[in-house]
Amino acid sequence: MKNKDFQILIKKFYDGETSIQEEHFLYDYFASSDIPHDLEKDRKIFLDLYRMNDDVVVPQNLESDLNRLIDQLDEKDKKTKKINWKWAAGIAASILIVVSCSLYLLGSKNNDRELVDTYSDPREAYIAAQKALLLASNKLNKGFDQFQDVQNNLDKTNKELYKTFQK
Amino acid sequence: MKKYILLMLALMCITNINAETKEAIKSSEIVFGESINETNQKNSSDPFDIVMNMKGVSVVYISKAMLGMMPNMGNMPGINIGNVAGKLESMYVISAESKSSAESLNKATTKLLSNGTYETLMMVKDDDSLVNFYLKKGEKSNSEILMVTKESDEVTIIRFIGSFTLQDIQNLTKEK
Repeated sequence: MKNKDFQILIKKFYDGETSIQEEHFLYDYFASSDIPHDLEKDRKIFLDLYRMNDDVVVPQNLESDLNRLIDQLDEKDKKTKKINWKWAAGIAASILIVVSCSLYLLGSKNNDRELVDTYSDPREAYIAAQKALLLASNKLNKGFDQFQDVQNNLDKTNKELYKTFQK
Repeated sequence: MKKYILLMLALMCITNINAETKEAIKSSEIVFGESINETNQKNSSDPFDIVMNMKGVSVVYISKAMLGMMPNMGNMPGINIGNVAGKLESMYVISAESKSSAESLNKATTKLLSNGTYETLMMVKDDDSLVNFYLKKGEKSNSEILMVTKESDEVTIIRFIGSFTLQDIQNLTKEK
């Protein structure tokens, strides 16, 4: 078999498409010492995988070690979560500061707006104020006069009713 | 984490202080007295700012400084308003003369008056106009009177702010 054919077979193996016979064939090939240099890595992977089927000695404390490792990882995960919360709080606080400052500055900018007198001549201002005040006075008096008229009519009616009941 | 909680609390305090400051500015519109800025500046917390900045709405503003000169202007023709003018802190005439701007002004004013800070004093209906008077009582006997006139396509608001009474205004045209 040529090198090229082996490479095709190796690719097929990585794609999970090899048959058991082909894998045996590959094992035999990699087990031999005469393989090209560029296939060294593949050889190591392949042999490691196949050696897994051999009897492996399980360390005595493997289970407890694994449990400890899981606990440690869990603890680490919790710490990471706490750190994330801190980050979130920090970002939220920063946003709040920026928003508050912006609102405050915008508010201050508006507060600085000047309202200037429409009239620079006091005589003109007097005439405008006079016109407004007299109009308001006129309308107020008109309203109160109407109330007064109604009041007078009510008084008159009450007197008439009183006289009628007296009889 | 404590640091962030403290920071948040501090921010809340700042926001609250800011709100309180704005509230104080708002109330200073009512309490003119000594706190009013003599340089004719006015704070934007004035609810009428929105109305006065509307498109198509014209505003005439007479400041305390200008009104303060009026008691000494007895030589002016017509009824002497010097006594009342001297009690005013400021005066505004806000008007809209086009139909669309009058409608907008009317809507904005109605919304502004519906928040309960102004109480209706009186409504006077003429043949072609409807006049409403509103009162807003301030502290230290300062008050604000609004006269809102609605005609066919026009809306005019006259706003008096100061330590005057209704009687002061009435007396101007009352027959004695």
